[in-house]
Amino acid sequence: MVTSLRPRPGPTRSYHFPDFHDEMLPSGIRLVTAPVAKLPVVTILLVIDAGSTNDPAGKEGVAALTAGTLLEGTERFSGAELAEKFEQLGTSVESGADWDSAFVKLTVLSEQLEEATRLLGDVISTPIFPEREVERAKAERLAEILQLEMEPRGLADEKFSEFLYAPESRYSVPDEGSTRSVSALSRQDVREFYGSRYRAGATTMIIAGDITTDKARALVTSAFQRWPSGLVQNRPLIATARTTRKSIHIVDKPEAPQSELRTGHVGLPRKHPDFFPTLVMNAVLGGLFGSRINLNLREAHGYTYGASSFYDWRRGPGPFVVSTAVQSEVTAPALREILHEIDRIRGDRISEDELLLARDYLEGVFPIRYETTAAIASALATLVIYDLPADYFESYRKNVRAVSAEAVLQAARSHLHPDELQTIVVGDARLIRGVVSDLSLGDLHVHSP
Amino acid sequence: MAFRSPIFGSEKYYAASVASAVLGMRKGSRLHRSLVRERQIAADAGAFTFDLAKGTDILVVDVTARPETDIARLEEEVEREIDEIHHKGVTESEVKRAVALIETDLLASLQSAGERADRLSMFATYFKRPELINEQADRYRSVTVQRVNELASERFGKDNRASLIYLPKEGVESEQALAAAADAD
Repeated sequence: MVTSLRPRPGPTRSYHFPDFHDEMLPSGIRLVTAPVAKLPVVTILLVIDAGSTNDPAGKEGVAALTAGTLLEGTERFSGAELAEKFEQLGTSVESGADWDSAFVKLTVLSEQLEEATRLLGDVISTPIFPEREVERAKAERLAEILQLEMEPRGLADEKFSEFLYAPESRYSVPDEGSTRSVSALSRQDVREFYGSRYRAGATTMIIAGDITTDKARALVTSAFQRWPSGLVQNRPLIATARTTRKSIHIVDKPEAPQSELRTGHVGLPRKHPDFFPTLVMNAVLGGLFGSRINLNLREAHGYTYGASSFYDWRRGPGPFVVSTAVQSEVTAPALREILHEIDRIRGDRISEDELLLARDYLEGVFPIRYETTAAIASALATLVIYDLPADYFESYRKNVRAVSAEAVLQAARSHLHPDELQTIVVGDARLIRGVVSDLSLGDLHVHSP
Repeated sequence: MAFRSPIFGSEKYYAASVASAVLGMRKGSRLHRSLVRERQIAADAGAFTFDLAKGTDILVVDVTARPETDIARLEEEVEREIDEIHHKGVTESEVKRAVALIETDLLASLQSAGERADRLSMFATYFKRPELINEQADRYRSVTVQRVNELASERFGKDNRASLIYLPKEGVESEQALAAAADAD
């Protein structure tokens, strides 16, 4: 229908996350099915408890390398042939790993679902990790590390994690590994990691889209007959801070026109009882464009194009970090304003307007995040990985609405620790060393990149 | 590298769009298979149409060199792949792969209200016919090998190409360092 009249907004409607069915198959694979028959499209998302926190010591990056080369060949087909086979079905498979899990994902038209699932089950049950492909993936990762380290932004992120966490913590090294650890990885390491972690007891299959629960069960049971059985044990996670005394590290980049800033401390695990108050608190502090830190540094002072803060939510306590880049000459004033905003949100209750803005935003964007089968599957993966309650998404908006200004204040006082801030500045040490030492940010260390 | 290509919405446009997918859509495409996987001289390779509805459209081939790759050699290899399609054409199986991928992407993207709005607005603006959104899957399905090959023969010649090489300002130093990293294993 074509009309010349502009549509008028209707009343706000309630939102319901799609119903889903969660079951354990006799094989030990957990199956989560969300029938959503909007369009003839289905997403399959396989979540395996094989993320980077399970990298053995000295083998940092092996989880990412294993997931990244999983689809690069089987006994019957080369990686190129596999890509061709999936693409003939109108789909391509992605695989990867983050801190907490490995994933394999594809979206396909429902008419091709059966064939795609069968092929997927066959491929990931019998990978051979060809030497050439493992070496190619390693070379790509090593080039990526160098590229990141040449950019102040990448270097600041890497150094922040390194200076934040104790050296024995897996979180102190990038999830995809460092130059040293990746260089030492071998095909045998990858095969061993696959053999020890990719098992039914560590696997959840999530299927969202134009499918019934019965059909999903039948498909997975048939396609994953060769998937190795058994349970896996997670490695104990060490996430202690390198130090609880605040300190500042300058990573020297002579002649750099800008300073890349990171300041923060060890944050909270994803399944923390204060998740919602902390989420709203961070939205007010630095999580939104209209947040205090961005309005202060960008709008009021013109120090930067953008500044933000976030909690990196992981199973273990990921970092809380404030992140921005400013011109070298305003490095100290910018840091001073960041510290001021952290103190301010811990000092007094936020205003009702700020509370409404943050809550409205978090509530409002929630439904449009889950329009697609791929997004619904990813949301369900979040439930699985972080062991969240089944009604988490259904009650999300209610939980956000329930956060009060007092709860935000308590979250700020409990979960922001100005005395433990670790500050990283990647910039010209000659210009900034003297001025930042006046900020009471703790012991000052200067490093060459 | 870019080619003048039939305007968006024309009959020949769909053949050009499929030709670009044969060349550079995903890992099974010619450029990815040849330059990224087999010869390992490119870090990435893709191709797409710009979807311009007036004057002429542009079909773009976009290839990023691996750090250690000699740029002249990469350009030569890209041209070799283009010449191959220009002279010998593509296969039935390549067209089937490209159309299947395009169709899945099209339907998957229409799940989002923002994408539906974008596409309705595009067809309304260009052609005053937002309902054309409903014909797109069929237009792609009707593309044949013959039409793709006619398009490649007509448009992929040396007289219809322009090539642009972009080198970062600090390219020399960075490339040496990256090449050292790639060789480190």
